[in-house]
Amino acid sequence: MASAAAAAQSAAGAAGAPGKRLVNDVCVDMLLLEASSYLLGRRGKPGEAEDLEAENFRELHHSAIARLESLGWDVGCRLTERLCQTKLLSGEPLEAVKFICKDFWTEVFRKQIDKLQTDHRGTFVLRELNFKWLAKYAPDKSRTDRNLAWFTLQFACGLVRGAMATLNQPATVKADFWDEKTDRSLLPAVSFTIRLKQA
Amino acid sequence: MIVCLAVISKANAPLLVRTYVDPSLGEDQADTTIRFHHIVHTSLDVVQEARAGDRHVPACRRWCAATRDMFLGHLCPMDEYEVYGYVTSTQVKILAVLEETVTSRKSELAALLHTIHGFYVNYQLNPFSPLNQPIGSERFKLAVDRQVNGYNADIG
Repeated sequence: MASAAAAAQSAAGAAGAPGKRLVNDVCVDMLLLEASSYLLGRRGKPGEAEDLEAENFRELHHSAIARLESLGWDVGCRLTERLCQTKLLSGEPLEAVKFICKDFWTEVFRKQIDKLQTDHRGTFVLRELNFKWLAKYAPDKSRTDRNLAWFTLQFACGLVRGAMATLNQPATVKADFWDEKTDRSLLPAVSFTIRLKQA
Repeated sequence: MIVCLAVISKANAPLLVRTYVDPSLGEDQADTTIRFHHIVHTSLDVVQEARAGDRHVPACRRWCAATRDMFLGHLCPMDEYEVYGYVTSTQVKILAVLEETVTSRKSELAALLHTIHGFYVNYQLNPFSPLNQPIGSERFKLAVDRQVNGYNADIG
């Protein structure tokens, strides 16, 4: 798994390195897909689609979800260390979140995040209207697709959580693309909810 | 000259402590190391005070916020040494313990600590290096030693 992290990291990190090394977007997409498939243990087992359809997908694949998330966390930590090498941050939570919305997002997705909302009590909602890593999913169709898209999203959750942790703002991060009210997918729009852990 | 250089994690755990004391002075290596560990540990309190974002610290003492620089400058005298500090945005501290023989050149020291920060970032970018654990990388140690020895040679 370390190699997957390595590759994903160079994918995300190299773009902003002084040497301006760039990484093909498609490669990142493929790598993420492959990592998901590997972690779900789906290699060479096309017949076992039932467990991806299951209502309790999140409990069923608990450890795979945690591993993908922690991979993202690792990359997020290291990448943030690099990105704020020359940037002095005051240590306020809002500044850390702004850093993620602007600098961090620009580095990973080449755009700033679209919307940031906060209740000023430790909760931040980040809305990304065109989330590149899931832009080609169409998870309205079946529960399997929806579960897999959500699973892939956990890597990005980990990225954000790692970045927050490195900036000394330990937090929990959740992401979803499902509108509970209308019971429809909002893809490619995705929202991340960051909740600071109270010290 | 620099007699000790320490990299401290954001949780205040030592990641790397290098000492540069002439072995011919006859002091026991283990003793020296422990002594510098102690000095570095004590200086961390001053770094904590100096650091911006800590609400318990009066604004006038938040040097970092005032200077907008990661290099904190002179922190405190400690026995016969002087301690200088550098804090990154991610709260990784780099401390240099100097034996003041001549007036130290601050800008050069700032540049040195900045370079070491760069080494640290590069070290962290390696996905195989453990996060927030003592640094075992020989390459990192060697790079740091080379920089410090270069600085010491310049001053001396």
